[in-house]
Amino acid sequence: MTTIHARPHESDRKQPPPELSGRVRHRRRSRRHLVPYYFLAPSLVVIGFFVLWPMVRSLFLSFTDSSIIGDFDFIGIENYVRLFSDPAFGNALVNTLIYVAFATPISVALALVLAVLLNRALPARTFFRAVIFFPFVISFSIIAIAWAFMLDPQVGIINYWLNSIGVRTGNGIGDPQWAMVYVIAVGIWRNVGFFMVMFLAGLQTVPRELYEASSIDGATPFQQFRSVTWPLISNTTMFVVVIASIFSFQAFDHIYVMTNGGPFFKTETLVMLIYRAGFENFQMGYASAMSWVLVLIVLSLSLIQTWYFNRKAVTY
Amino acid sequence: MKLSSKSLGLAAITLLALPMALSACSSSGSDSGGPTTITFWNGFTASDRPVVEEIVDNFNSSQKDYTIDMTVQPWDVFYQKLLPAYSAGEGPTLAGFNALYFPGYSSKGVLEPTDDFLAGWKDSGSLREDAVQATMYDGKNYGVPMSAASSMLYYNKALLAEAGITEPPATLDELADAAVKLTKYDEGNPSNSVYGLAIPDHAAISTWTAFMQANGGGVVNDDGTKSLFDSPESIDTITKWTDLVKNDHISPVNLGGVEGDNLFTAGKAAMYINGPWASTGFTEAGIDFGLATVPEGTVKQTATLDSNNFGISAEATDEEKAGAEAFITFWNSTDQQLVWALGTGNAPTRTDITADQLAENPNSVAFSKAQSAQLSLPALVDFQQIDSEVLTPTIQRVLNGEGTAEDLMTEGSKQITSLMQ
Amino acid sequence: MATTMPAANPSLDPTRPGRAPRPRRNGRVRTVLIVIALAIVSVLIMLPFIWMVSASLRTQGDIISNPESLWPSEFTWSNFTEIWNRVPLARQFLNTVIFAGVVTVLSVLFDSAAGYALARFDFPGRNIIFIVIIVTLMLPFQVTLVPIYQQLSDLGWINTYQGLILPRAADAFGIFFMRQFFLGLPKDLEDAARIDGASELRIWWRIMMPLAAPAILTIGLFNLLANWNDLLWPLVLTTSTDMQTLAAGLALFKGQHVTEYGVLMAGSIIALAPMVVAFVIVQRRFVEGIATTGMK
Repeated sequence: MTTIHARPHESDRKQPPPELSGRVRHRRRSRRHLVPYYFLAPSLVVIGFFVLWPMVRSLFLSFTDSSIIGDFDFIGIENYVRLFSDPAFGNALVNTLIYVAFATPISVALALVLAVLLNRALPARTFFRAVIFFPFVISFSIIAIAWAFMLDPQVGIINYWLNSIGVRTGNGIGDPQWAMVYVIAVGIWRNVGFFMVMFLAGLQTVPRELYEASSIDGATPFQQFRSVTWPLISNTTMFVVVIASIFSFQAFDHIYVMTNGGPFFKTETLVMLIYRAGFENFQMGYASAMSWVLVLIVLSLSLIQTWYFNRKAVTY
Repeated sequence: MKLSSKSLGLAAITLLALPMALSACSSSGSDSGGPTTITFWNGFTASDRPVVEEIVDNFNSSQKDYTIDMTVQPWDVFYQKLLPAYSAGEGPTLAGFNALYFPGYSSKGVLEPTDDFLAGWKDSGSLREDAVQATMYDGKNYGVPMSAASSMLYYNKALLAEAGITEPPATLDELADAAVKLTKYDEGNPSNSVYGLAIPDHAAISTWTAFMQANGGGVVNDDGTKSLFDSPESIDTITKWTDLVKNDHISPVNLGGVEGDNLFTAGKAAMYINGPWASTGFTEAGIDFGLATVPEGTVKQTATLDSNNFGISAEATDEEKAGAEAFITFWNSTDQQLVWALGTGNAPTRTDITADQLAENPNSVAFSKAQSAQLSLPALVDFQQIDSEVLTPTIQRVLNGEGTAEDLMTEGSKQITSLMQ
Repeated sequence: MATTMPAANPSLDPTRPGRAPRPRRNGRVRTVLIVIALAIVSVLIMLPFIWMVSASLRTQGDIISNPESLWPSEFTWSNFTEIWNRVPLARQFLNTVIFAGVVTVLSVLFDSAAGYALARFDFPGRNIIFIVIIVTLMLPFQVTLVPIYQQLSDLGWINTYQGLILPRAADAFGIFFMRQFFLGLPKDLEDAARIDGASELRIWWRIMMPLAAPAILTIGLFNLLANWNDLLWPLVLTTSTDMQTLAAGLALFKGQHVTEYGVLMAGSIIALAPMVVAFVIVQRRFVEGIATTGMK
């Protein structure tokens, strides 16, 4: 049905009232164009000066043989060429990919399941939400010390309990085959609550009427999830997946405390290697080069993920 | 909860103003005319810290020329900060850290040579010679001893008595036999087991290296010019001892320093080679332990030397240098070394302190007797790389059955050689 | 948004006042099973914290000689009393409040402003700026540590509050989050105010920010948590003991060879308490808060 009156905002937004002079009109428009920059300014100044500039500097260092102190030479792409044939880099890359491939989907899926469960009216719902989020409230390095002690293969309490119910933990976290599993498990433990909270938010926006309508039509909870919930939270899912991937690629704190990359580099991720190369071997140029390769990998993955989810975006 | 913008604004302003107010109140550096401030960084956290702080307080109150401003932080943060700090001109005048790391810093010119100081200092002759020599690099000395200890053999008296062993082993062969005898390995439930000799392979002083050295081998020769890792003595020693671990289960595999300590304090390891820092914890855990010198090998008796030394910044002014030297002298004086040794169970750096003076702490007495030791690796700039990329992984690989000691150590030796160039 | 006709079955009618529809028998059994499962999951998740509490009430000797037991062989409060003697807890607490508090206030303001700009305005460079901001999340801190340390040293800001706080005053995660939120608000919200001649700043502060209150609480909490627990940054930037934060103080109980578990865990519990309080306060608004984060 057509409206008779033009919507006031539409026309006014484009043209100011005709009695204003041309100069004022021009000033208003150019002022508005600058507005977003004003809002961005404080953040951009801080990030530009204290984050981007060091990043640019580290990019520059990646083309040198800097060893933190003293003179260094510009060596072009030598660091980058070197890392392609460096077995340590290959090993760290594989370990990181394994870590990401398991930690990200599992933690995101678990978070989603828990969010869906804790979205319904359940007794003690608030308590459960708080408990699951709790691992995120404490310093990771400190709680990783507790984990390391509890997972001590010979005297750790978790191994003790598992062994007494018949599960043979063998050499536990010291076992080259199993060390990565433990490290991934602790990483998941840390982040599930954080992602769950994000999902809970997204779930609040799904209108209840849609669930009820589908109930009437006889849909099972699983069918409801697939056809109602999942499509409508795709933006949340995208956000969580991107953030979860970025976190997984940066895994460091708990691995440093629990295994220090061992046994014999079986749990050495890219950031662990970057730390070791930069601060133990004093090869800061090489460490910087590896970091920038990591950035490229993560960025590519994020772009792919964003593209994938945008294709499936649901808009109203 | 609705907050008016006014109260929000007020809260924000207060929070923002606090730091400025506090900056004004916090202590500033030395003012002219007052005592010179000497910044001192080290990593002696946990139970050592109160003792270090006591000595620093003693120094500060004993004279008016210098004030030590000490910062203690965990070792990993310490090493991450030290070089960037020196590079930015914010480095400490005085730093106390492990001798093995000294070549890396000396080679970058951030430390001041101490030869002149040592030559002119009457006490330098009373200090442990190996600790003094531990910071030699390229013909010059860059450090002064701060805390030095040899590793010793801890043994659980009850477990040894139970197995009918009356004397702690004196040779490596006896050690092997005792270890096998003391091991009670439960295949189905390893946490039920008792291990004869806990041998960590990472994050601990390297017992493997000490064994190799005792038998005439080692990782690198004393000059740091040649790799000994593929010498027959080294390979035989490692083969023998890894076989004992793998086949006779005298120790768990992939043990870290912390896990080794945990094993001994839980009464699950009969013997353990470690330094003095562990003694307080073992006592607190109620373990009745004895201390013996590390058993001798076919060539000599040796233990691992763990030495922390003082380093003076090359950028220090003459005044600051004098203050640093004054503190070093004070630290190594008899009185303060008694505070140090008795407080931490460590041995003093001085060799002229008698057992009677240390009687209060029997651990100090024992460790002060263990004198014959050497560094696991001589002064090498790349020691960390050699340790984390060759020594540790190779031993771990052999223990995990990824290859024979001979193959892996020969391979490792080549890596060491290329790293040393 | 489509609305449905009132359901034929009155008990499923959302508009009918009264109790929520009673679940059928199957539904109730399922609920019980779910609660049991969640309870088990909760215990597993809280395991390290249970150990933490247990360790804080035991002596070091007890912890390391009976590692396989959670129950103290002898209860003791000594860890909690000893920690006050070992580190200047009160001063560290103050430093942490200042550091985490100021950073949180500043970053919430700056991030909201930036997120608002990126979401509600169309301007050249908008996408590039956004991507660049996201990229800052991807580079490990280990390689920016040395350049930023050098930079702050050049400014003379090592060991100062401004050096500690300003580099953290804006962060990419917060900007990303607030942008998502503002994207979800109705499109022409600001226009009515613009017609009335309100300045952009006023629109942002008086209209958009109050609407964003829940999201602000959320990002504020995340920021507070992250900075309260941050270890490396304050430790690297400060050397004097009167600038140390709680995390730095706690780190002093971990030695190279020996860790004083009891005292460390007692201190962690003390340091944790304010965060738990903050979380409980925010919890209410938390989820409903993020609910309107425009995850649409």
